[in-house]
Amino acid sequence: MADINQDKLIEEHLKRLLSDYSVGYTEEQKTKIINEFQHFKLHNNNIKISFREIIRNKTLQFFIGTIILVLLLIYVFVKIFPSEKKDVINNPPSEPSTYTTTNNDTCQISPYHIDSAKDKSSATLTIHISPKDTISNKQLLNSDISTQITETSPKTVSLDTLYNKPKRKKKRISKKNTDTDEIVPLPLLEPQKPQSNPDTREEE
Amino acid sequence: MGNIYHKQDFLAHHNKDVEALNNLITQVLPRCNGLAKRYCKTDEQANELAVKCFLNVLKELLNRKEDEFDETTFLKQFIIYLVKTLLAQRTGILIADTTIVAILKKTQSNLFTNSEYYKKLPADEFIQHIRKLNTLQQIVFNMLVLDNFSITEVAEIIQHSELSIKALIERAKYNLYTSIKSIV
Repeated sequence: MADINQDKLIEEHLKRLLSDYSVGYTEEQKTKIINEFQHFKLHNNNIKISFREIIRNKTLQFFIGTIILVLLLIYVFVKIFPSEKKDVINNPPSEPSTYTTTNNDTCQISPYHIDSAKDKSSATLTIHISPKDTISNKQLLNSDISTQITETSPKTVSLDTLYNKPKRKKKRISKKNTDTDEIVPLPLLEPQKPQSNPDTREEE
Repeated sequence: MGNIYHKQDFLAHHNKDVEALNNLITQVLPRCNGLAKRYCKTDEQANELAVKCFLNVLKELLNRKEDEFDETTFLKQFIIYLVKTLLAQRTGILIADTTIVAILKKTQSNLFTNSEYYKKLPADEFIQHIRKLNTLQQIVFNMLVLDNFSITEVAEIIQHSELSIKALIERAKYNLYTSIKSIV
């Protein structure tokens, strides 16, 4: 019993004496630790350190955040407003567009209509000629926007832009008959048979 | 709890990391040297392992997710790393040391001697008595009695069952106290 009590006393004494026991370090130990740590830091943590510093730096955080935001906005903008080419095919213009020839004559071109039942690449173009002025085929051919309608089938025609057809001899419209203007049928245009297509050429 | 050390101080540039490291060395390395002296068999081994384990613990703590660590955490990790290194360095066949030194058998408890003789002994002498123990007994005694580890933690670190840890500690205490009493 006395031994047990003494063992306990020794144990308590040892705890008090040795639990916080410390021994001073030498300079050799210190320099060795510092050198090893620098070596470790250089070879193993270069990327990690720079990455951590970047993340922690508030200025850099701000710049990276703005760049990401701008990229997101560009992406959203592109999605919302796609390119024009797609728009033209999907949404043809509804209003007639006008153009002027070299002689300042105005011609009205009705919007082309794509017959959905037929091949989409084919389109019909109707040109409304102003009753005021007479336009010769020659003027029309020399206009900036000269088109050639090529016949692909008896019922439909296809439209090719920016092609100047070679000149043909045409009858001149006499000045006497001003009231009844004879419009020489243009080689560019072909008469259309009545269809479900409402756009037809009008003669005045 | 002790001082708190921030990871970013060690990873900074422009000599700030050296300053943080110097601070850590000044505060913690003496404790690490003391721990190594208790756990190791010789002073040379203690000096070598103190530096090695100090660096390895620092690297491990810097690689963790936590942004800071305190002295207590550092020392606990140091002890674990030290114990694992010592167990890995053991060579040869282990023999359980349950024998008592022959000289000690002659001693009997003397009612007329001062029962508090052990209080006059310096710490280094106690450490010499601790070093006489078997490696496992020395480790178990240090961890359970002096460093306040639980039996479960010790069993996990040393890779022994809890029953064997209990047996080890009882044997370690008996051998140590008998060794200390024999000096009287």
